[in-house]
Amino acid sequence: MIDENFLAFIVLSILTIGAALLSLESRQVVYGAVALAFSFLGIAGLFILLDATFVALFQIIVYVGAIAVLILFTVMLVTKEVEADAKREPFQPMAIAIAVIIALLVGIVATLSNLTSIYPTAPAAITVEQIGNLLTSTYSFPLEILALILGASIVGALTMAKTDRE
Amino acid sequence: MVPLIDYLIVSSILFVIGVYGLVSKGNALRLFFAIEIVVNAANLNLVAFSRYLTPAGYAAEGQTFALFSIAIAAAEAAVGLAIVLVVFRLHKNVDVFGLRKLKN
Repeated sequence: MIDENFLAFIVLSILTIGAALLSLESRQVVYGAVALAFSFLGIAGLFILLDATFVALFQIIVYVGAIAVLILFTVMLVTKEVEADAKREPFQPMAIAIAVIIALLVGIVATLSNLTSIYPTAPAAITVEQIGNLLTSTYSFPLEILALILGASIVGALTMAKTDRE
Repeated sequence: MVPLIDYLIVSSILFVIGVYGLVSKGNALRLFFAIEIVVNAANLNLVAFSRYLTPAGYAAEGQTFALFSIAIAAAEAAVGLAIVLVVFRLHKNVDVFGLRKLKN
């Protein structure tokens, strides 16, 4: 018998992997950006399956809501005459070889390990409150650093992207 | 239930797809997509391991790390897309094989 948890996992992973492939191999970059947003959504669904609801919400808000939209805007600003000359891919055979080698290595290591028999032991009881407590107590300093990084990246992006028209 | 290895397989496939894109693609935007796919694979690993191999007393740590990782990826996205915009403004395309200004 097949349980609905496994079925949802299969559907979500096919969506995620297929959208990731499509985002790299689609004919136009705009379609690739939309496919990438779907891949992010699939990852958020996998997070929900892993009982990480807050991370899934964060993923949807930050990735699908912010990064995907940012990527779409950039694609629309940039992708005017890109299609014609970005077609050549001299390293594609090497890339496929590297990907296959990495996949084989990971597969060998995974089958030799005892990871195949690990199932969740306890039911997940992680609440948002726990994560918030961690963020404000143990990881409060990394959180401040993170705020600094975000601010610096915004300033850096604005400085790079602004035109020098006085 | 789904065993841990299935999540690891999905995340490895995503990682391999990202590496393939990083090596083969010439369009800077596609490279950016590939980076995002790799980051997502790492996040999936973080959350899956924290769900399946929960150490006693550190139950929420993995998810917190995933939150940090997502936020770092957002910062990286802002800077990376600004770089793509600047490259486009200077070169009128975003083909990274044509970016050889520093070579000579």
